[in-house]
Amino acid sequence: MGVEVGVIKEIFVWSDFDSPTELRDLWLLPFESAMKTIRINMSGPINNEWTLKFTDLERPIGTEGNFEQYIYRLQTHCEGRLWELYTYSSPPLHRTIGPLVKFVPKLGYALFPPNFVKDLLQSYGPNEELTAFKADRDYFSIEVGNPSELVRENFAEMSYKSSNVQEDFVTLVEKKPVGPLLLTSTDFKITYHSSKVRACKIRIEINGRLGQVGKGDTEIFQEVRERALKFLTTQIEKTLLSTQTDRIEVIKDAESHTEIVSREITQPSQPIIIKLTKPIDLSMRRRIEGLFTRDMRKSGFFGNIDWKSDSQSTIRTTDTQGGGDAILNIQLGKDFLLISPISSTTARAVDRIYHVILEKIDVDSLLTHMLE
Amino acid sequence: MATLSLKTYLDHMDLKNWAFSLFDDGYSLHTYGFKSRRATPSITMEAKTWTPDLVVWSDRKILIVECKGGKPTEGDLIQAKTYADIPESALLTLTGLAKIERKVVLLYFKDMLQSDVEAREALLAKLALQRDILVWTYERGFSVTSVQGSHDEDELDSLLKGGLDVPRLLSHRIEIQPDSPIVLLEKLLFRKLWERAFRYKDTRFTIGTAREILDGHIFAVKNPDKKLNEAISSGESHGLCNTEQPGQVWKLNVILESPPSIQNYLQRLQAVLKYPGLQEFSD
Repeated sequence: MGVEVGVIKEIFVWSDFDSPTELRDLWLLPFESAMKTIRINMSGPINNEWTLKFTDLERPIGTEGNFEQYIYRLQTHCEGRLWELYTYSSPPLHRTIGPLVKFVPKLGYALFPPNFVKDLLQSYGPNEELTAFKADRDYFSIEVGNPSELVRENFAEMSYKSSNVQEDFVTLVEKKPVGPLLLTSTDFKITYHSSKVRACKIRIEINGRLGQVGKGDTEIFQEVRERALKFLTTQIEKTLLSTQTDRIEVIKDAESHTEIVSREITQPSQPIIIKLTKPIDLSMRRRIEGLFTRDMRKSGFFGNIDWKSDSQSTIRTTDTQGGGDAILNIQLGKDFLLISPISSTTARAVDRIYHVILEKIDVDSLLTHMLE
Repeated sequence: MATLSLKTYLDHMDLKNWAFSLFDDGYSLHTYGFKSRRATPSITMEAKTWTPDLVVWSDRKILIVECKGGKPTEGDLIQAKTYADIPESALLTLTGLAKIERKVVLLYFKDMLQSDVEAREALLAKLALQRDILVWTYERGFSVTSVQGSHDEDELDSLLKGGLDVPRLLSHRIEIQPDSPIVLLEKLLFRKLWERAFRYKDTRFTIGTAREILDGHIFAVKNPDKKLNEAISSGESHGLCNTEQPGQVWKLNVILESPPSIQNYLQRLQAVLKYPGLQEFSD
């Protein structure tokens, strides 16, 4: 039986660090210098758990010299490649993990794509109720369930209170009357009716965020958290199995005075597929090429077209947020895009490429691995 | 010392990567038994060094593959013969197999082999006298389409003569080798330095950084630092970096937050292989 305690909020982050201590030793001081009004104290590990204490110098409290503090706890998974940061308070993201992840190029948010969220909801069947959602396009956002209204630059944001979110989801997101919208935040309630009614409201966001909305049954939350963790773990394992690994082998035989130096590719690269909902036409091909070669502000990538023919282009693109390079292959008339990871490609870069495709090209595309 | 055009050299690297992919897990030759392979091995025994493009072996046979991006020349067979002379003890050191039969394979693009009838005939006529040397012909992006010579294994002969599937996409897993021209090393080095710059938010580098990021690539048999220094100097002359401390610290010529600066850097990097005067080099 679940016990109602504090509200838990989690952020899942991909990491290239060998250990969180590397973050503490190499990045926290430069981060504090750059931020000026944020201080971080990192301690641990105790039972594989680190503690990050943020002090916000812009928010004094009580007596002089005291400032607002926010605490996150950190656990690592997948040999340290996936970090789970959680908290029982509600720290402002833009004064804590947000700027840290932005500042440190070896960290990046994990991705909860719409198809994962839809599958998750579907798996709960009648026990699940969609209570709010947010879906975006480049210049367009619809928020249903949380009333507010504001216009920011030329980005229109609309929201309204709905008496039937579930139906509005089908109407606005699935039927696409205003064009394709990318599901970025989903609130849902899971209720179990047994001897006692147990319920928990949960929010899942595209950028690796998962949390309770108000107090609820923690056992239900833990169940969803485990599914999210399993999804991310599987993704990174498959990406690792698709990524080339190699080593230089040196063999010396003193007796025959022989030395052999050679390169052994211990695991060849296997393409990762982004399955699109329609075949690539000329205009889509140009858009994808543009996004991954020169439109850094829109995509966060920059690169070169390495090879191009009438029907195909091969792009080597660099994640400007530090996730490494990857090779993209675009074939006219095909309903998929191939990512060929090279030895420096990280799971973050693969997620970011997929995120760009979801956001700018095809909201219903699916990421699959050749290994599947 | 032969002079190659840079295009022929880049074709050679493509062919080498295709050849490597023929032995990928799931493809016929891997299934047949060629499960061990090494790219760009440098085999040194006493004062002699051999650097074939690729070696692959099963539990009874080793194939030493030399890729030829251009038309056949007289030197090709001479080079193949030197591989046929690699001492057995060196092959034992490499494979760990005491008794292993060797075959040397010269691999050509089909169109290049057919483009010069005289040279092709001269090569094939001499080949008839060589028991351990074979010629494979590769049709670009398609398959190995013909084989001259015998592998001394009927099943393997028939497998190769029937044509081999290759992956749909060419994956450039081998980007450099010891005899590559400096511009190729420069291009690879500055591409990796740029990737690293985003990962560490740091555009400064030393010779140690260069060595570290090229770990896993064989680009020199002797004195790798000398080659790296040459590549850095070449990069500096092409506007890719500036010296901060002579001979010690350099800085990439790029502002990471500025798209126009990034675009300029990538354009300069792309142009590296197109600079006049670099079309020819000696191997």
